[in-house]
Amino acid sequence: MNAKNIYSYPVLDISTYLDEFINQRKLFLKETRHSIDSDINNIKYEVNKVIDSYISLNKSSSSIINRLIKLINNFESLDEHDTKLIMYLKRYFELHRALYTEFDSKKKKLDATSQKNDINMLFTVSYLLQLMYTKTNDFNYLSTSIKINEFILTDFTLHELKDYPLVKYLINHELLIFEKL
Amino acid sequence: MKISNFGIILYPSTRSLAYLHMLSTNNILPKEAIVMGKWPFLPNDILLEAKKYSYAEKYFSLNDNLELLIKHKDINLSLIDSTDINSQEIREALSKAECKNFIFTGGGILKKEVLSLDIDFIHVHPGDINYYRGSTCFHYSYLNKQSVSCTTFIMRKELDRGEVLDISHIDQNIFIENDQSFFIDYIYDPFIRSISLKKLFPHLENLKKKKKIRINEFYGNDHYVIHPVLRSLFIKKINNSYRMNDKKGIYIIDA
Repeated sequence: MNAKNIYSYPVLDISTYLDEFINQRKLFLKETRHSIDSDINNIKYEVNKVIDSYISLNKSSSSIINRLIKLINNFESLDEHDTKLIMYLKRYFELHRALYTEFDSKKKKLDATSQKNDINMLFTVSYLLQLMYTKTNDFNYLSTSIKINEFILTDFTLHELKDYPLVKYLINHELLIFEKL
Repeated sequence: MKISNFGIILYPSTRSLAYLHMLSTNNILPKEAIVMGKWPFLPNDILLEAKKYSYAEKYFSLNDNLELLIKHKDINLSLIDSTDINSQEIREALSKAECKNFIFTGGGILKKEVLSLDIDFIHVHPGDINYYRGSTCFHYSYLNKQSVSCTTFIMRKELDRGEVLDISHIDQNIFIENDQSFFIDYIYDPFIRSISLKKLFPHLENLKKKKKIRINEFYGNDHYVIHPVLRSLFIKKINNSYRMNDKKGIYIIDA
């Protein structure tokens, strides 16, 4: 499964696709030595711990990642503007297969001259979409999150991802979502 | 067979075949047909699957030789090489057309130049337009709410928006086998659109008289092409809902 695939209308091997997908995700976690025993609350706790330390290290950064991390931390109290921002980023990824780290608040759009496809940015958007899915059961969010995850697993090497715990939690979280479907 | 005062633009797709089948089995054919691209067009692997699973008997004929239209001398047939709905060839054919209502079967998103012609283009969208935009939206609606709908509407300048003529709700009792790889995109999707379109047949000659459905606020979100793993899940859920002892098929249900 290649993230560069065009997603439109693939001919599926119905009998194996779903299982193969889940096995590939499990294989990634195995290869990165991540235990898949975590439950959703445990993942939430671990993610918050890591992103809190990110915030304290990047306090002065103007990146939109800081704002998105705050949304993760306060997910239960998202307002209309926050949801609109998440929808904007979702749409942006679907259209451009890219996300940028800076948001031009005057033009109200991502700044395409800023860093492209930073791993923290991809993680925060995908994780927020997973949270949106778990809150609403709307597969529209989940579909884009899966595409972002596939993009991460294809664009970054296993070596790069091994020492990046957030992606492991992201994939683990995705597997837990699939277990419930 | 009644030749009625409406037209159809036939993109080389099973959607066109499904619509033609639905029209002919209801003894109606269009007065004008604009045929895009090369026909016949179906690859052998789809035909083999169709034969194995009797798609022609259960859903619609996959005969793509245009014989149905050619044998009727009263039908004005225009053959166009282009498969781009916005091409100059199509625009010219449409501007010469006598009919004011044309059924659309694909070939891209209609641009301003085509939409500004004095013609109503009828499109069936595979989703309830109140909530769902995007070509794979029936997957989403089924996964979200176990429901599938189609909206028939006259296209306007914005994608999937326009004057709504009908919203049909669809149910199915089918089991999709592992080797029915083409079924959803090439049979199920065009078939649900065709049974929805059928409801409009009495009004095809004069859409103006058809009461429109008021859409107060278009609040459907864009639904981009669904990830294949969720397509796979959609099929699994359709199969899980299969009731072996009940009537099999895909049909319209009352709202």
